[in-house]
Amino acid sequence: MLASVYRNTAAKSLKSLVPKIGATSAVSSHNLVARRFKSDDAGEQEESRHHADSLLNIIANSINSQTSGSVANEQFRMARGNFHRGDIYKPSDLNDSKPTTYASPPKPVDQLKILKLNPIVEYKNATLLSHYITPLGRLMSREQTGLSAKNQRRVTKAVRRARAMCIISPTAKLH
Amino acid sequence: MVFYELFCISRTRLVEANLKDLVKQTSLIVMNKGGVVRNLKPLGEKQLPYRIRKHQEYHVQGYQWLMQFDANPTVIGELNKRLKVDPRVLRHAVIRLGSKLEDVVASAEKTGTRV
Repeated sequence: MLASVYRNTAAKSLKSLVPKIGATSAVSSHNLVARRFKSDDAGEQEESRHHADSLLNIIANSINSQTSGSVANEQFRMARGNFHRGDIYKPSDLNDSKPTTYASPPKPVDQLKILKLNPIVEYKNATLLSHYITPLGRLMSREQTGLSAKNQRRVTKAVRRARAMCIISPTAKLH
Repeated sequence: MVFYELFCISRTRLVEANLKDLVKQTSLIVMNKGGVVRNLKPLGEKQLPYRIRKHQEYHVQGYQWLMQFDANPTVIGELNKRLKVDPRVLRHAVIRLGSKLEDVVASAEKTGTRV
């Protein structure tokens, strides 16, 4: 049941997906004088939106929106000989004379850590935060999100802030 | 000087001059106390996720904008006082994202939350 988090692409391949952003862009473009409300260049906006979309796709694929029930269930699923679609098996897996060994599930991957996103800064980003709430607007548990403890706390804080500031609804997932 | 961000939701359908006046006055509060306004960003008029009641009216839409500035912590109290009373403002929050702009930029850049 925790399949999608565990079967996700490895950390290494994720890193290659993250677009490299040049160091020059952000800091040098800041003015000390307040800017008027001018729209950005169309090209710049498009590029950043494209980046944002690909990042959000990565995150969306990592979330597992259902928690599994029992531990025994999990052990059964991880046992040798228990096949699922897409699994790769070797001849020894078909050998029933050997006792079943229970493989430990691989550690879930913290998407935000790899993508180097700080959820607190993203409290305004309803689209990003919506990945971490259920369709009824409730926060997902750490089992479901696959985040580290630190990031889970930060996401919680960001979501609660966004709710208070009327950025996301407390009772629904709108984005 | 600490790096802050004011996220503000103001009333929709304000006359442009009125909105500009609001933004200008807010910026001046910071600047008169020796702060530096880094960025003013409009986030657009949006349907609010839930109904807000403010200044004895119900609101279902709001105009969101963002002001990023460096200021002394003492300025924030003043800012909050003024915004609370202003009839054009529905919600406001001053949030401290980090002690410096540069710390905050790296994350925001990636998601297109242009800082």
